[in-house]
Amino acid sequence: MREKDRLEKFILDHRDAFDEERPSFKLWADIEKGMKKKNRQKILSWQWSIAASLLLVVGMFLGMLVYPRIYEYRQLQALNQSEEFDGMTGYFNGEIESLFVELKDDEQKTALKEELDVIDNQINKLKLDLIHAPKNSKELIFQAIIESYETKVNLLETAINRKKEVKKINNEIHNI
Amino acid sequence: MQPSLVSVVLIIKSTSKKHLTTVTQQDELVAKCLQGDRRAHFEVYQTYSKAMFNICQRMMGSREAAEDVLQNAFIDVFTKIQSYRGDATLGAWIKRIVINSCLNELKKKRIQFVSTENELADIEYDDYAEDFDLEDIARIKNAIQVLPEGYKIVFTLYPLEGYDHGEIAEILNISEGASKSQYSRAKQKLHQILTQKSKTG
Repeated sequence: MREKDRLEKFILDHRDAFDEERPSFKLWADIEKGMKKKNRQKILSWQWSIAASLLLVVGMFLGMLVYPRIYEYRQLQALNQSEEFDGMTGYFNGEIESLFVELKDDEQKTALKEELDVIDNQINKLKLDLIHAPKNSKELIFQAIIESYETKVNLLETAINRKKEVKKINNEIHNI
Repeated sequence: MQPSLVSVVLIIKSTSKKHLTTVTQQDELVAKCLQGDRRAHFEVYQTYSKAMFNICQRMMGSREAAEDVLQNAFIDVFTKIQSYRGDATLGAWIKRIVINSCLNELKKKRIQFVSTENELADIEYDDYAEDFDLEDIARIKNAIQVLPEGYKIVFTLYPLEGYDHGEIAEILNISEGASKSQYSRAKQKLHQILTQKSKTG
């Protein structure tokens, strides 16, 4: 080991004499003040982190609720705009509309409207099923949607026929 | 007269008991600090503030800067006391915080701790011609203050604070060789300052 020189030996022998200065008396008060400030900041940052975590949880929860709906909405839009679906619904809706016009102010119209609405709800549910269904079940659901539209058309046709029948009977009664 | 075996055993026992008491007292003090006990904080401050202030003053160069750094360092000590593991004495742990606070403050002023030539060879110089006496203390303290910043820090850490070159290398994030050569140059510079001053003064 290297031998210490005179200065090093002197410092070692009189180490305490090199530490004679003292900090001012107000330093302790400043430290206490600084600690209080730091504690306040700590509490504040603690509160902020709780608020941020809560916001994150709420955000995630809302996201979990909203995202599937947005996804479904977009898928539905894509489905409605698809060539195959648009062609099919376009055809049926056209038919239904003209049959509905044919009914005019028939008294059956209100009751019929309610029935058609129920079928529309079923069609919407089937559309959602179609989005989530595995590929091999899609054809079956698609078929069920077509059948629902056919049911609507049948209902309207039956109502129109009944209207014609009533009209015919009424005419016969009138001619007697 | 040679001490008997019994008295040697007794001396060892009493020394280790004294040490144990000190360690227990220190543990109690730390435990109280952890609970946020203001009196315990003050006791720690009273015990270590003088020594720590002198380190700060040597490293920072002025009373004002030393007090600013010491204030923040003690706040760090009390707010981070839960990270004190007890593997070093409380004083040694506080000293590291104080030194790091000084170094961080000096870094803000973009002060280089070490010469860019990292691995400088040790510089040999003749020892001082005469022994120092108590009247020389102020002269030595002043001479340390006029050392270039990097030399001053290594000189403060090695002979005054008792760190070895391995520890200084770790503190300053430099190689052990760089610490040794920096110290060697600091001593040479100090020798120049002190001998010049003694000639002129």
